[in-house]
Amino acid sequence: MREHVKETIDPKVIASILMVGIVEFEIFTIPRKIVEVAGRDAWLSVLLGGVILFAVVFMLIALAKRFPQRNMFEYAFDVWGKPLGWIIIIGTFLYWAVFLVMALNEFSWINQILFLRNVPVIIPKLLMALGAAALISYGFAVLARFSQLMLFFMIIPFLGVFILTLPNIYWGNFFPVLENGFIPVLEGIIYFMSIFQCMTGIILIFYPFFNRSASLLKPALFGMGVIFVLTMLETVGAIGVLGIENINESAWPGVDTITVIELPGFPVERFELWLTLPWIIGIFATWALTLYFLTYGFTQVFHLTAQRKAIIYMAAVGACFFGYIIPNYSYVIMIRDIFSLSSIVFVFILPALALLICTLMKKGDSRV
Amino acid sequence: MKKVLLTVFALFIMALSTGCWEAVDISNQAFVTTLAIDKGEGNKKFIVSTEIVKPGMLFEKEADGKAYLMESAEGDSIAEALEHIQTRIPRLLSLSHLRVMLVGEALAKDHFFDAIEFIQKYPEKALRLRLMFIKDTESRAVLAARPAIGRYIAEDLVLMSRLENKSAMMHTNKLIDFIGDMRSRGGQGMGTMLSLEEEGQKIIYKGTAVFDKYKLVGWLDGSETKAANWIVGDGYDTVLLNAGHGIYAYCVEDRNLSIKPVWNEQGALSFTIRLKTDGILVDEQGYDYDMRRPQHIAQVEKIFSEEVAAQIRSAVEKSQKEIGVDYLGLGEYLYRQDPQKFKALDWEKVYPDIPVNVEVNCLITRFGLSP
Repeated sequence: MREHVKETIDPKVIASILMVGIVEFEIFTIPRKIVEVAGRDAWLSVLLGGVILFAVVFMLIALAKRFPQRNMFEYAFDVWGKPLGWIIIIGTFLYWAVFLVMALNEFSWINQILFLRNVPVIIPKLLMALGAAALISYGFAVLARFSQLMLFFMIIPFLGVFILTLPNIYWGNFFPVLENGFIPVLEGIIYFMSIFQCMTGIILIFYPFFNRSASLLKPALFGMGVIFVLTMLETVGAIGVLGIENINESAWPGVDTITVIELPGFPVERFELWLTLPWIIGIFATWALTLYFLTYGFTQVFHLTAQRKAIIYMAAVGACFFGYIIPNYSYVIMIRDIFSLSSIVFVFILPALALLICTLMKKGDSRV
Repeated sequence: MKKVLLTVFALFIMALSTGCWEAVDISNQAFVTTLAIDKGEGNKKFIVSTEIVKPGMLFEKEADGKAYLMESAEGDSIAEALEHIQTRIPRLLSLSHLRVMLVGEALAKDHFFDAIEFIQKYPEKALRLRLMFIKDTESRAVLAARPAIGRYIAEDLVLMSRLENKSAMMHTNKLIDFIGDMRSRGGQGMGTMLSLEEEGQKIIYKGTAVFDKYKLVGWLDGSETKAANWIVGDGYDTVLLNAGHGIYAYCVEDRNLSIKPVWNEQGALSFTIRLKTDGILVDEQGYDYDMRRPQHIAQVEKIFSEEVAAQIRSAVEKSQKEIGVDYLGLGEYLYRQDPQKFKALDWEKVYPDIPVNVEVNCLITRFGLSP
């Protein structure tokens, strides 16, 4: 049933899977969401959210360690019982399915605005969906190698962008601190945490695939640490360069920030378009991972592993066409916001409750 | 069979390849580098003029003709005017390389922010573009001038704007910084000013446009801008003064500014502006001082400090008493220090009467090759 890759995947690979899998287009939009609620203290939300994030990684690893040979679908019924287990599993499938449709739609809207105005959006959507389906149909090992290969194409441009941003940052934009008290900062933390929708899946589904899964904690913390740093740099860069007034008027502050930078003497005037490289890699990897979680979980729960390949392609093509239900980008933003809040439930609250139940009722391996 | 099917599928995908579908040939694009916007004369809101570069002319060694062409049209929005201009240009208009946006005085005094909204929404633009306001005339007059060194007007204007740290007589900011200032200060701020000399043939990059409630309310000339730049600027500045028997010039190369709101025991607000500069004595026409003697340097430093302090006081007075608008951003310092106290004040009303103390310490650490 499970792919036999235990001998080949080193635990360190989880760092690259987390980095490539979690960073997607939200890294460009997250400053706006956090600034909307936390204002110029958005950086504080990211900082405090980072502390919580590391605690959540500990929690997820602790939960996974209790069931070292099983993934979250296999022990869901043990932890939650049958009725609640079914509700949570179906809810999780729906959550991932909504993400697949939303992310693909967002990808196509942005693609249309920035690059391909006349091409029917279904073409790039299908190309991405079929590419992702082809990748994950080879299984986890290929997905893991893909993340390792793509990692540096993502991280290096992001760091380059921040270095270029640095001289343009106006530090006065960060004052006064805590003008509206601490409550908006706490609200901002919720939005910050919502970008980690893939984290639970990566840790709780992939855990049994690693050959020394007991030593997964350090690389997982490292991967999340890099994402935390990137989000912090992106937020600080956006506030420092654009200011909160401009961020509130911007759909994609991350992209706008880089269009402010001037490089006198540099021959390429619109060099900021290189940012689309990490974006395309990020959204492709995140989408592929989510498709993997959904189809892997679905085929496992409903005992359809023999039909997995067909289901992968059907889900990919289905996600392309379901996007047509959403009429315009305003709805994308609205549904994204609702989705972000529901992430808190699926990514943090449910695993936390599961760990609590396991601890109190001594389920799984309690020696960990 | 499987391989054949895969090959057919790959060919099918390649045929649909998006890059081929929507290839953008740059030789088929008309790149707008400057957008000049003026107040409409008839029943339309705007007159929009564009500087469109002619790529083929950019590299002509003995080009008699201009490397750009100018087209104008009226419209109630920039988009409508651009649509009219497109009907006269055989290539597709593109704003992806828009470098400069010019606004004429009449429009700046009226509804110019509507034009800014268009630019903010436009997906192709880069926010590093510069916004400039034209004194006494319409912005399209700038497009009719001859570039001084560059091959087209936008090139000259961008190069000049990059000299902001080398000349204190100009105030320049990027579009996004200008908009940010305006939004955070209720429409108050400073914009870049251009004017035309010699019957419209030469563009002069000097002075500042002052805004209140999103409308132009006044201009600062070169020396007033120089004075204001002690507070809002960050570049080189040269101070001239008559001392003893000659003229002395001090070029500031480094500065440290501190602006602090101070509340006295009675609860009255004042500001203290402290400026410390470090620079070089670049001209010494008299022989009153021997720069090898530290006490003489101290004397010259004191005189320059007094001169700079006087300039700062004049800048504050212009802002408080003459124009009555806090374009120097003193309110922002108070807001950053204590937002609640700032919000409790009717800033617009109290600003002109707030005492401002100025303390300047000019240091001369070098005096060139001759003492």
